[in-house]
Amino acid sequence: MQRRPRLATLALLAALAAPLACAGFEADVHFGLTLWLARQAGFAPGEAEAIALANQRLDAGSVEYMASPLQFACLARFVPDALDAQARHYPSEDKVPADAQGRPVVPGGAPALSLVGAALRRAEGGKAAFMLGEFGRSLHSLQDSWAHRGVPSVPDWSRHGIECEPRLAMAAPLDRGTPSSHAANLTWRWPVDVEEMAQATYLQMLRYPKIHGSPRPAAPWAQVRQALPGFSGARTKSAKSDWFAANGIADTAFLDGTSLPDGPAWKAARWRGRRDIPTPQPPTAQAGVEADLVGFYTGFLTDWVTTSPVEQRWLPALAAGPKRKPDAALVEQLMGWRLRDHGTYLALEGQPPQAGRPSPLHRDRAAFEVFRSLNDAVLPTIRAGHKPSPILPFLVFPLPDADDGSPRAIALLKLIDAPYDTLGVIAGKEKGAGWKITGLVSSADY
Amino acid sequence: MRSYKALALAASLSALTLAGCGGGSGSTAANPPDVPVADYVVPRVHSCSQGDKPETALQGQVPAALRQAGFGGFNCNLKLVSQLQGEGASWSAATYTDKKGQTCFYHATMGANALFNNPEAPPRVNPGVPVINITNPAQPVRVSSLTSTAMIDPWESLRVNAARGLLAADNGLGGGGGPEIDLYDISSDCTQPQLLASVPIGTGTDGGIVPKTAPVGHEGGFSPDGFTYYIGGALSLSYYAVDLTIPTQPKLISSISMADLGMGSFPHGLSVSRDGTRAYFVSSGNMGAAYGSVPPPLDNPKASGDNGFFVVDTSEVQRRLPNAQMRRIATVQVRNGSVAQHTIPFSVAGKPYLLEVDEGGSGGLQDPSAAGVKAACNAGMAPFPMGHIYDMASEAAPRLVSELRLETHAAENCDKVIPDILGLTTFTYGSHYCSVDNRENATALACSYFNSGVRVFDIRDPSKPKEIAYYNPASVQTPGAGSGHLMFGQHRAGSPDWCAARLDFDFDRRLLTTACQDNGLLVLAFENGTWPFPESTKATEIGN
Repeated sequence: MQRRPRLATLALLAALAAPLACAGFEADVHFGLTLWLARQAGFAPGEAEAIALANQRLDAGSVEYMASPLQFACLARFVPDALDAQARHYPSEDKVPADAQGRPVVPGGAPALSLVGAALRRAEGGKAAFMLGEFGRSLHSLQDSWAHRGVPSVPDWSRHGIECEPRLAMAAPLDRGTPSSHAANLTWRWPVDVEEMAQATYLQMLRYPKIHGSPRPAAPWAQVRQALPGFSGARTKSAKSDWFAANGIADTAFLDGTSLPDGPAWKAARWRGRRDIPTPQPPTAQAGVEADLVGFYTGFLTDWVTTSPVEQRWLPALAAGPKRKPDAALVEQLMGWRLRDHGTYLALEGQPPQAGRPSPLHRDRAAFEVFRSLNDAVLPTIRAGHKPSPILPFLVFPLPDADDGSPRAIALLKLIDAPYDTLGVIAGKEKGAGWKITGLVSSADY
Repeated sequence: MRSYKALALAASLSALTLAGCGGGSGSTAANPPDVPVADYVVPRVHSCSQGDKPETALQGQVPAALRQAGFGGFNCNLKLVSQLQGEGASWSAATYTDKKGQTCFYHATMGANALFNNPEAPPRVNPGVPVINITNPAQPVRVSSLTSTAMIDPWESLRVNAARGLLAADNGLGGGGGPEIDLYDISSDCTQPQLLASVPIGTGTDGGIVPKTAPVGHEGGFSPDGFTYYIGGALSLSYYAVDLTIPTQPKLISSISMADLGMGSFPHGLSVSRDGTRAYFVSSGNMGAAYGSVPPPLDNPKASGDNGFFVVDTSEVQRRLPNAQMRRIATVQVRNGSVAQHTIPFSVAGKPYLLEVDEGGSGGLQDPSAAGVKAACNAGMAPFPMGHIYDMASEAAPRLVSELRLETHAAENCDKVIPDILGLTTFTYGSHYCSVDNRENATALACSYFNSGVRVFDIRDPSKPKEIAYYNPASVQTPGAGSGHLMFGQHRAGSPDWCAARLDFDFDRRLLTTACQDNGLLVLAFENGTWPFPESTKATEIGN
């Protein structure tokens, strides 16, 4: 009897075959590779970890670095967050606000090195032991200058009625993937860039001042580079995990949530290196938002994450289309974003749509995590702006009214299974029917 | 009232007799069951452990003769596990156990500054806050020192937040340095704190509000959730709320001046309720005109003084409302003390209490002639500072239920203790910082009592605290320049140390960690099952 391939295998094959059009590097680089390079550079295990952790936490989805272009360039238009995002992920001579054409990212260029230089200077004078974290954060900018080389693209969500300030917006350059995708993060697509990035990182590590006067025996670069092709070429979490294990890093849970498909034998586990996620305040704590709208979103989002998507219990909250049925593509999106294996979803999303044929993965209950609460499913966020913000599970912004004058809104949230993206769940208020979900947009956040 | 005091004195003397006979500190007859709060003297330790070195005079006293001979230390039910003198310590300390199970101890140090510069002090070698690994409590190891702006001299502001794994301090250089706040990540590896931010607050560069007066660091403390750090700006006369949501970008979101709070004295320490909606600020007063404060009220029935604490509504800060305001709910004047230091909210058997601790006696801070001490004695009030426990069943009307008065504090004993402290200034006998074993289920309270060392009390009945242990370290011959005691010019050969820092209970290991100024880090072990009690439970949060 011929055995039927498993759904996950099918999905993986689809993912690997897909012409991925996928933003900066992810935890495989910012934590894993950085940790490994630091060890090769002679840092003690704890020191290497301090560098890598701080580097990764710029992206880790904790509340500390949640700045999303969808918020700072579009819905909140907050220049300080745009400046911070640019410095950390799209280093350039010209600063925002500025046209994207005028702020190209040059890999390893002076802007990409400026934070590193500052961190190295601040680590002098006996401060090296406690500046490892700042050094790690500064490496993030340097590393992303390869992933984001070129002219940043400007995401366009105008068809959803979301107008952005192009002089603040930034996404991966078009020749490295579409703005909402993560192709620029995937090392196997850019092996030459990855090696250059790794070498630049390594050279800066060698410049770090001695800690307590102790010399650091470093491996020669020629030796280090020999191992890199295996790292770059790994196309799944599983393959990346194997590379790290073979190179002395056994705990590879940091790969969870990256944009690589899981691959065979990958056992998903939450990474302990993530900063403890705070418990958000109730959604009603957001100032200036109508209670019924917050209530609607709370109900829908809770249903969405606390029930299996296979059951589609949240369908009644979706706006009805011409045939009095919810839009199939929206349903597919809502299911796809709930997949535990987000890398595979990204790959599937890049394929041409097949009318009437939902992904087989969407029928596999085991492919989804059913959370106990909304708070368990999200990385909490804060409202960008000069005024303080409570920590919230999601943020609500008004959108321009629909053509028929009915009010519209969008809720931003970040799912724990897709930490490199911010989702925008759009709703409209239908006469007599109340608020209904009408669309979903995503922003690839570095 | 006098008769109760006489009883207490008699009890003390009988205990002294027992101790002198080699019977340990012995038991005291304690107070009559209905003794007024103002007359209550904390009963002595019931019995010490074998090999201990009990006190030989009044409870808390290091007599002048012992000082001249060279004080060798006292202990009862607390024994020394280890010590790391380093270059000495100053006012604040904190302990933290990280995700890997490593336990670290951090303490503030001083150094020469514009106000305090003892020419006899040796040069600093490792300035700043030492990072001490006490994972093996018997072998503490200084790993490094933190030397960012605020860590050079955090004064009384050094704190840990357990919930987020953050170490923080404001710039308290010389008691009032500047507007900077430093934050470190200690969650992953407490032995290697990593700097998250070292930035000025409230000056217009942090993205937050700009108050009338920018903060000048001195005291500080976290909200239990670790998302707010409050600065007690003694010299800037305000309390400040700093948003730590993004710990690399702390920013000022609210402030309230002492004028707004309603007493014209100085801010100092603070604490915050578990849910973050209440802060317990103090008014550091009753110091006299020389210190910019009103005179101690002592026995003047018409004077209320300007020392005490405030119950403050911080719910707008906690909820991060735009333009968040802090509002006073209650003011409690503390006449029987001065220079209010800090507060701790805690629960005993589900009932809410608040401890307010002073660092000055009823007559003000110590002066060389002990004039303030004598004035307090003459008024029948406590000459030295102590903690005051309030029943907070009604937060609008806190009710005093007890005071942590040692025998040294009893007015009847003034003649016996004044010779010990003549010629000394600022602090001698009396309290500075205290900590409870578990704010949610407090059973024990430990306090640093300057010359009287570390004292631990059973507070299962908060109206009748009882002493269960003490450790008063021996005099240090050559203190380091990080010692406040030395830099204040108050170290004398043979004299007892200044124990002034916070203390941390370690439930799992039955330890108490703190730092005394000349002696540095002290890891102490409870002996003979003294603590925990059957009712004690491990705290889910420490460092506040």
